[in-house]
Amino acid sequence: MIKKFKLPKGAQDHLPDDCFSRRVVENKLMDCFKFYGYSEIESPILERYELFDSGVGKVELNKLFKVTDVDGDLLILRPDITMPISRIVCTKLQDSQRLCYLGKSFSAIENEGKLREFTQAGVEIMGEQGNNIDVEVVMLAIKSLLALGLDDFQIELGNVGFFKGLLDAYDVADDDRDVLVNCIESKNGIKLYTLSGEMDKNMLDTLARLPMLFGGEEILQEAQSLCLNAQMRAAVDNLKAVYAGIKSLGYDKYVTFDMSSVGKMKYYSGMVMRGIIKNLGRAILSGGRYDRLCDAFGKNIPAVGFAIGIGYLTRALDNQQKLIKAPRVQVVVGYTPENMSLAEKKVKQLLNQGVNAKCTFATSKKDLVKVKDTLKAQKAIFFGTKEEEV
Amino acid sequence: MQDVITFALAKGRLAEKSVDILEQCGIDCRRILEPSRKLVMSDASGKFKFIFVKPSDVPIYVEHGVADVGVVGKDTLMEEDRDVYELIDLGFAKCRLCLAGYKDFDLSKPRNIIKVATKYVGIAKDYFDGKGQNAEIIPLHGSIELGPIVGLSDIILDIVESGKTLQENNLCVLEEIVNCSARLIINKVSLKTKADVIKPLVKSIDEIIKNKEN
Repeated sequence: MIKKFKLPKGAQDHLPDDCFSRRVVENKLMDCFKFYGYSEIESPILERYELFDSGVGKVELNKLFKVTDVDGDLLILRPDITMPISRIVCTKLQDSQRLCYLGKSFSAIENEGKLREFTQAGVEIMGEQGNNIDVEVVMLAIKSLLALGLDDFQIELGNVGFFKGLLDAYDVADDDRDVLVNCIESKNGIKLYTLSGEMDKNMLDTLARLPMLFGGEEILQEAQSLCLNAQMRAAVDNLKAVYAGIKSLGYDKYVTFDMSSVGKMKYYSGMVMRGIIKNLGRAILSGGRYDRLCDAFGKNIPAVGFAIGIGYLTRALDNQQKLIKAPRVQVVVGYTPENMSLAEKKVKQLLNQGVNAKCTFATSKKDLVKVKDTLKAQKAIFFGTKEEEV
Repeated sequence: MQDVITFALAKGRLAEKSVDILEQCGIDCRRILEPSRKLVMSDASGKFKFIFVKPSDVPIYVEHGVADVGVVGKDTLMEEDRDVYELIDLGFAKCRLCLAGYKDFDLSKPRNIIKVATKYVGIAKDYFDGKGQNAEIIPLHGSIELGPIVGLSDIILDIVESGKTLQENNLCVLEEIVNCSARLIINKVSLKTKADVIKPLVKSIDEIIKNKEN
């Protein structure tokens, strides 16, 4: 195998047609975020390792893509963009911000669609909390998927407080918590059975109901009947309030619930959300509230946000024949040194008429025909001594 | 129009037992067991599609969502470690995942390194890592029992049903790691996006299994 032809594991090229479609998707998302008042922010791809080594935002070492700096310091290629944005807000901006981003993140182990380098677009609301802010974020998630022409998606909501409260009610030890998180996250009621010797029977019975506790608004009624303490009730109340808010805006048909959403429980502190769509086995959007993330910087700043994986989103759009494909070049206009501006004017004219036209330098008709072939254009116009089709 | 639900199944006993249960749920799919080289088949109504894949590939098809539902042994599921919902213990295809070797092999004796032949490379690695025991894992694809016999490995990690093969080769179970049986697994998105079909199906399968146990 000739190694120079080979890409590193989890890396991917994006050929021109793919780039075109992805850029359309990215632009639509960013336009939507900006329309609703979010300012774009950019952080470096390289960060210091320490940023991801403490607090609730800690990322397991084996998942981080590590680089050694020339002076021996450990750097990493950012695994997400939320943590760097928290760093920026805590150190450089005022505490209240509405921000959006588009950029690449990295994972040392294969991640989204087997990729180790992947693009995400997302938003963060920093310094604001309350049910209405959660409504704002869920609404933006719905609006941004609608903006792309999707309509058969669900934004699935949960609240980690429900599960945390349940474990607190039974004083579950840390190690046992990890076991239970794994059970509930994979809806593995079977494993719960096997724990009946070791843990409280009533708790396991309640936990065993969580895997199937998903669906429409009616789920919240059932969830309420399982509440044992203020934390659990607050979680259900939050979801009820968010649902009422979305309903008042007329978009409740996109919202569903899953009370067993507990993934990354240390990171999230309240509502969690996941965007799913038929015929794509993966979530296209994920996020939630993480009020404790800025604790690492000695600041108390509530935060909520979501990220959309551009790769999965593009695939979902493609599955539904809703992906905008690169248009064919209809006309290529060639110019000689004397009439460059004339040719450019002609192209602009054609573009205004909705014709996909391009401009190129060509000293002869023969050169222009070559360019026409390269661009796979339907037609070529040559500006030599006069304007003529070739 | 109702969405088509795709099942990933491995040919053989797992598929036969799965069909038994699905028939009890009112899905007329006996015909998928007829001898055929077809890899994709449907039930009588056309609402359920069945794809036949290698057992260890079942969790992969389900994780990617090209199959909504799968039936797979817990041993395979542990080895593959895929991001899927593991909803029901179907109770059939029971076996034990065991460490086996010559009966005088003392597992508790301290060793620099232990040589383990197995099909379950991931499980073996996790198991010995968890014990802090250095292990050389030797991946094999069949006749694992040969490992200790020809001196390729000290012990093996494999599934044991009756224990007959071990016995006939003068080997025995040294330690049981976990009890296994067939599991119903479901794609994390399909369960929600096709809930109108999958949720009731899961419920009736669960009832059938529970009735059998009682």
